[in-house]
Amino acid sequence: MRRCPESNNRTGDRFVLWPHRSLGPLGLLVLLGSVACGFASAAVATIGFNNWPIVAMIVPTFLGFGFALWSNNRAANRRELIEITPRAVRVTRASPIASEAIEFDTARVRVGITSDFYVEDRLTLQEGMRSLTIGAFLSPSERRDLATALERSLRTRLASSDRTTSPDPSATTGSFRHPSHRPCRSDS
Amino acid sequence: MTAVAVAEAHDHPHGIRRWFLSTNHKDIGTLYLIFAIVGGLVGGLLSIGMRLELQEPGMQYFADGHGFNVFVTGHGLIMVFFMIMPSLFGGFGNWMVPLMIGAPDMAFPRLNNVSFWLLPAALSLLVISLFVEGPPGGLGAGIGWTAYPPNSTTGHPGPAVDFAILSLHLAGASSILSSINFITTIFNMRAPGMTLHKMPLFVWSILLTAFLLLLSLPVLAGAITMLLTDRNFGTSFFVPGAGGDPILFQHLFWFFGHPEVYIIILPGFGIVSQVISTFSRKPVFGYLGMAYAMVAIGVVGFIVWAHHMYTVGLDVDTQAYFVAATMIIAVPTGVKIFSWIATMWGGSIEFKTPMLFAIGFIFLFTVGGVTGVVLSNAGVDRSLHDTYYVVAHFHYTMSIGALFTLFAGWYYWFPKITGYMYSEFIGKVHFWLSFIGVNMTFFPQHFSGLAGMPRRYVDYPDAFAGWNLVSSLGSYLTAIGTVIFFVGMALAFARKQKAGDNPWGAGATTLEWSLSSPPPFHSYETLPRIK
Repeated sequence: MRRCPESNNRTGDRFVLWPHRSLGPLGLLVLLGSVACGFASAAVATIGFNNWPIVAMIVPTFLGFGFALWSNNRAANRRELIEITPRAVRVTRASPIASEAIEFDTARVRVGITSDFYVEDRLTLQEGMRSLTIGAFLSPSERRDLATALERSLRTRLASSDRTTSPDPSATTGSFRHPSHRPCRSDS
Repeated sequence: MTAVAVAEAHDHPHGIRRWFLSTNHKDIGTLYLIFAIVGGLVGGLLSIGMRLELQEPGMQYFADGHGFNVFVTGHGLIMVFFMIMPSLFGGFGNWMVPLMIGAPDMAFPRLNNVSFWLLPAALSLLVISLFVEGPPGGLGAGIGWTAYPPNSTTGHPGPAVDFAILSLHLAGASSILSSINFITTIFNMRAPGMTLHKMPLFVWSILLTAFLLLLSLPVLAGAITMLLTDRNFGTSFFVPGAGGDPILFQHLFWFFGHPEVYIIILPGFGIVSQVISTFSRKPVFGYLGMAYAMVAIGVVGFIVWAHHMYTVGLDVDTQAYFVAATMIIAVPTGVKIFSWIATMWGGSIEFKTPMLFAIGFIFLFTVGGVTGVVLSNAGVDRSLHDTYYVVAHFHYTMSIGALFTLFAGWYYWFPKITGYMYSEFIGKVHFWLSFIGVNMTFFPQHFSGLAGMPRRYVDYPDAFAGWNLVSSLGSYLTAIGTVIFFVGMALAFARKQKAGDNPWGAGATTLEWSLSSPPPFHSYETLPRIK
């Protein structure tokens, strides 16, 4: 998982979340190709001997393997952008097939962590009856960490909106720094 | 209550939810290890039963040869599928791979849970097979772990073999799912900076084992499915009278069976590399050579299967190919043995229990490797085929060799996993009893085999009595060593002597030693960054 905070006192804080993956698209292709070659050599060797049950086992195994890698990589293409301004908290979710944006009122939104049977430390943004789960792909400890950073940012934004109507250039937000922090990609 | 406080209150699932529905790699690793202990006890008791019978010529405890062969089958299958693989691959793999690569967990935690829980079901089916009819009038499957037809088809018309086959199907499915999980985790979930060439050798070994499982198990699954349909649905894949070929099953089985040898021992190679490097206080000698030697062993392991079948009537050219290919495996294996020795050379060696087991493994594996080169020769193998020489050879490599790596890993990671220190004295007593015991058990079997004693027989002529007695006494000594092991573990849990985060000092450099002992439920609060 990667999280990349940006702080801009004119527009607010931005948190970009995306799952960390160590294998690139080319690596994925090479890996799938290698395994396909391995399976193909086993399958070709047995075709001549009327061993169709072997092929019947090899094909679903390869498909299962490919699906696992594909779904794991596909899950990494998700992005969650959380922008916090004195007026609104805007969550933009982008996945390979869709993009959606949800807005909350900064003064009313609350950061919540709840645990239930299926999800440990579910991180939510709540405003009245509305609730939005964020950071679902993070580990529970990372979600707790992010919750703290979001709460800090919300407090700072609210305080700055109370003090002045114009942005205070000297005010800095408690930004969330991750050890794997790299310059943010413009992927929002 | 603050968010953090709420989070801490819900940090750990407990009871049934933790142990039955767990998706945490450490908990699942612990389940695998406990399961392997149960499997090892059952398989070990079966072997003691066999040695009790073979202690003297004549029939002591078994009513007939079939009962003895049921023990042989149960011992082989349980030790391979329900003891060594769950412990080295499932147990230590689950525990250590995410910690060593800096991943928060496995890529598919729920799949991980399913992989584990298929195993108790598989073991149950195998145990059931012991108590249902196999051959007419006999209980259990006496087919050996190879399950060759026609013994496993017309020789065993009862449902015992069907239960055993379904057990293998479930165990195989479990291993395939685990392999997919490990490969995805290792390729996709490494922490930033943890490149493939920086991965610890144990992670390399698990990655290669996962590939071997993924590529070989579908072939076994297909072969035993064909066996199942031959037995129950009127097909004739292996029925010569109807155009089938029983030798085909042997080809298919050993296409899986030979890589299985490396599936068993490769994680052990990884453990030994970690242990020797730690207790020599030196980085492992020739890291890349060690990693790619494992790759070479894995690749070549797929093209040597017919050296198990020299006696089935292969033509001379085919035999010559398999002799040459088999001998080539000695090269990467030799690279590993020499690199371990070179790692120790000039090192500041500490002879702690894990190190003793690792050095013991090098001795045992070298003995097994040398006899393997002997057996790779088709002419020699023809006279030694199915004798106790072969039994001694494969026990030295994939049985007690793998067992010693398992104990090396157990003592090495025990402080990390439990947070407690074990008694070094008891550990060393365990090592020496085991080392003397296993050598007493299996070294004489070379002599019995060279003298022509065949395997899988309940009785033997008086001429073989002497070495069989020594062999049986050795197995009892090993059993006493195992009891000492359990005493040592019980004492460690009773004394609760705290282990430090890194009890092995400067030599232990992999990521798991940077965590507390035992590690927190969620390993890495933030992703570690590897320089």
